[in-house]
Amino acid sequence: MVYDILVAPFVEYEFMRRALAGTLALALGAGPVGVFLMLRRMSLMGDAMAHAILPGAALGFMVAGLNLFAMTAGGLIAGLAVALLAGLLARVTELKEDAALAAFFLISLAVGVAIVSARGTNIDLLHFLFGNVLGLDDATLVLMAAIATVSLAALALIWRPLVIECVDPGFLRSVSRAGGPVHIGFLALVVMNLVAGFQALYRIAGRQSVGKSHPVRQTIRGRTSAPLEHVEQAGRFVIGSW
Amino acid sequence: MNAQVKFRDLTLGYDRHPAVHHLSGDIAAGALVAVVGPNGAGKSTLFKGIVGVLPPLAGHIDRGGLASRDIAYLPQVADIDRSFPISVFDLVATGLWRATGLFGGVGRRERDQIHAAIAAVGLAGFEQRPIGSLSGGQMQRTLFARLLLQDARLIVLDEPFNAVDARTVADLLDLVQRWHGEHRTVLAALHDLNLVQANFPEVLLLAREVVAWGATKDVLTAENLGRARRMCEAFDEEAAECRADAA
Repeated sequence: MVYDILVAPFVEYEFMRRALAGTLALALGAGPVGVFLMLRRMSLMGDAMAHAILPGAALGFMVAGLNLFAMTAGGLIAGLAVALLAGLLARVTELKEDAALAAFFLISLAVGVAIVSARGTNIDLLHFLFGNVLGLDDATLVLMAAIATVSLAALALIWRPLVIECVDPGFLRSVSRAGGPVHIGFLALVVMNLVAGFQALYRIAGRQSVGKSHPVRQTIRGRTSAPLEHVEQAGRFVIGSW
Repeated sequence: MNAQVKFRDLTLGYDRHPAVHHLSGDIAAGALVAVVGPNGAGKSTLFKGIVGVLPPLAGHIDRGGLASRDIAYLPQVADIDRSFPISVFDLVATGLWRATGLFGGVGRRERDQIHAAIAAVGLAGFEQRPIGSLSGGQMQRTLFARLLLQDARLIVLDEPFNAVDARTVADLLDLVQRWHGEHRTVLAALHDLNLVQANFPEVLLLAREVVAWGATKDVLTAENLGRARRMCEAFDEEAAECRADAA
């Protein structure tokens, strides 16, 4: 029973093993970054940035189609732009950073939706937003692993100033100038991990991810069990709509 | 005696609203100075300026060649996030920043120093306690332990004895006297005038500008204190927008 639920899917299906590897990489990177977001009372930030990367990914899609690197780069640029603009606005006006961020991420989300619907004739917005963790290809897995690696290494590197910046920023300012760069580096880590999460959870279940040689389709064709029917349906729907 | 810190027509403030005006004068090396004044008089602002956290709007501060690492700064307790899950030991250990910097390790010698500092403030046995579980007095002792490790030549204490019981104040004052004996320069913002009279030889009375500065008995007169209070009130009426900025 326990074996059937917890082990068998991973033994039987390669795409389940891929999903496991991808989400483990995501957990390794995003977990510690998320803890610091909470401790710095910036959890809104994570939510906001998740939406802020949409127009970048959409633009990347428009320019290069379903190209992993174009969409990732676009998402990174859009996320960092929103983070920097919000930080800048908070500095030059009375507005607090979270309020500035809320304004910018809504604008960013709106722009993203506008871009997607302007171009999204053959891809449903819903499928753009809700990707498929079961459709991770090699390039995506490598990207997610790379982001997890960079995140852990970077956290180890900035650990001491980051902790002090959280608990006693006044003290850090009095002994070191590392506070500003550390804050920006941390924001970059947040955006990177959001992009990694986007690959697993927000990725388009498109032609590429359920493509010709993809394990999901092969497995589904070979032996369809009840829990996987919806996967097959989703795959057929997406392939059909192309 | 050499001047440790020189102010030359120094004006400090936030968002172009000045909070401390046209301050000139010297603080001698090894001096023990109490900075006294009503709330909003600019004491914290002045300290941030001395530490270098806040750049001057006008004028100049000469720190006599002290690097920022040679200056230890105790901000008001409110500036510290007490809910952050860090232990007393780790927080005190940050006082070794000068030796360890961003990446340096904490070895046996450093651990011994940290334990000694924690013992010196009477917190032996509290090393692994998270700072959120400490009382106000214990928290302040922890921060003084960190100051001990910083081994700074100029020590700036912003309202170190607020919300702290008499026993803790007495213990911490012993440390302040010890620093004074070691010829370190100590500045402390204080509200308890009896405490100032008993322990601090020199007083700077501040009310957005210098009201009086010198030997304690000359400065803490009823006339000067009344003037300081009136100056702060008058100032608030003139410039309401400054009030929100007063720290």
